[in-house]
Amino acid sequence: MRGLWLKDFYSIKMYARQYLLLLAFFMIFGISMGNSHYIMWMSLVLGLNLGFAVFPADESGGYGYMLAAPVSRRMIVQVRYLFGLAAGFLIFLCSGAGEIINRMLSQKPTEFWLGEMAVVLGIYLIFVGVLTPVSYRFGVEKARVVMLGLVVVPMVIVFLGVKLIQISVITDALDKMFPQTQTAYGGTFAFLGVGLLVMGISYRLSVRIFERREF
Amino acid sequence: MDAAIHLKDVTKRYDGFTLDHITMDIPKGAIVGLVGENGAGKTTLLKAILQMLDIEEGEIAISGRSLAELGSQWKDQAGVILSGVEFASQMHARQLGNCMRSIYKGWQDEVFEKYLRDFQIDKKKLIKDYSKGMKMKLDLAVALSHQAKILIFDEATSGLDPVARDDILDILLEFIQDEEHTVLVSSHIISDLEKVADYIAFLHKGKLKFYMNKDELLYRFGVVHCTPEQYENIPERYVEGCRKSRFGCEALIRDRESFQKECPEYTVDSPNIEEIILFYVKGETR
Repeated sequence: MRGLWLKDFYSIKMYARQYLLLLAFFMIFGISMGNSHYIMWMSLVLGLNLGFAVFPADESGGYGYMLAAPVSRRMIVQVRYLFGLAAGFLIFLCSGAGEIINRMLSQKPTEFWLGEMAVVLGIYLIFVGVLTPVSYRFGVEKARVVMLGLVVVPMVIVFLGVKLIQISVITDALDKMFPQTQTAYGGTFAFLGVGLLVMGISYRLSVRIFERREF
Repeated sequence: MDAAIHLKDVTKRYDGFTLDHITMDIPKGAIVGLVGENGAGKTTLLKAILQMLDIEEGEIAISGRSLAELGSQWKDQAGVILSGVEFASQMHARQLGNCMRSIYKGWQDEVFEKYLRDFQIDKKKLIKDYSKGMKMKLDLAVALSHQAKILIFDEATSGLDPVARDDILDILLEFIQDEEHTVLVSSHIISDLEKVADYIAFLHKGKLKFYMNKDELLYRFGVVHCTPEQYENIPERYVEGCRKSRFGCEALIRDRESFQKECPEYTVDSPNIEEIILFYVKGETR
């Protein structure tokens, strides 16, 4: 397993500088705006890019090489998911660092940032959980299209919804539905739990798909 | 002699192509050359052995144990070169060695370093910047650096200059010296196989046309150059194939020794393996 981890690490290392620069930019931008939400959500985008950066190399011959070695198909999938979780953890670290710096610099500390962080991680896990088996089944390019769909469709729905309904109606309804209470706070962590559940189901599905795939 | 790889009725079906009931034993201590035209099924057969695809019928065993029983761990003893696969082109050779050290139990750093020096591979250059020949040599270095007992090579010498090809063939001959090591190599460069192979397996359109000891193959077959009228007089049971041109006929004769006793008036030349294969692929039968 360590050899497969190293492979991914070496593949990403090439782009490490770009990722770090982008992350630094997002953090500086977010902190200067006093907005840690920006850091969290942009970290999500970076994390997804990072998590899927190794797929194309595997698709274009890496899988064949690995399968000619004493590496089981299950282990190949395991490493992919662990890599995805590691990228998620990286998001958490970066967002947390941005939030801590923001709190130190800002006069108005952000409330419920842990809750928002849990939602971001939950979304990340759901994305990875959906896209990974799609990649194994249909390939990386189709998975990218699905990823776009997962981002664009909700955005369009929200955009149209905002256009059709007065914004104050929505915000009042949301405030009633999700008051800033402990229940709402706990709900954000439940969302993280949903993300983990999706990852678990996704892993089993990916193993089944990959074990049947021919090269 | 023990079979390093045993294939029995191995069948794989695709739309428009079937690898059709391949049966052969790859003996220990031998170099077996797998030849055939493009699309004959050579790579499909090698991938079936490597469990990269599932066969629909038949059985494959490694040293007497079925693949289902062995799982993937037997590949710790297999050095593989497959065309069209690469580990990660964003690495350089040293990093690749670090990965392989963790994957193969028998990995030997000093052997890998030796091959990198012998093949003059730049350890700091990214693999994606290597020429085709360099990539092949790197794959070969990896395949030979973890105490493999079986080498499975798919077009391992293609893209290499004649000197490099000769070096690789020498390595293969050295590899099987102790008769515990086995090589299964597919190649279009039949002259390479003629130099080193002990057995030749010829695949044509998914079928195994022959699988023979190389010397026996070259001894058994012969080529007769004759006129069309003379060709018509050759007993049919001896004719494997015929190629006609405006200059005359060439007939591939099986069982040369018996033919020469029965038809001493014909001059029978010794073919090479490439000629035999061309007769099978392009030759006509009566």
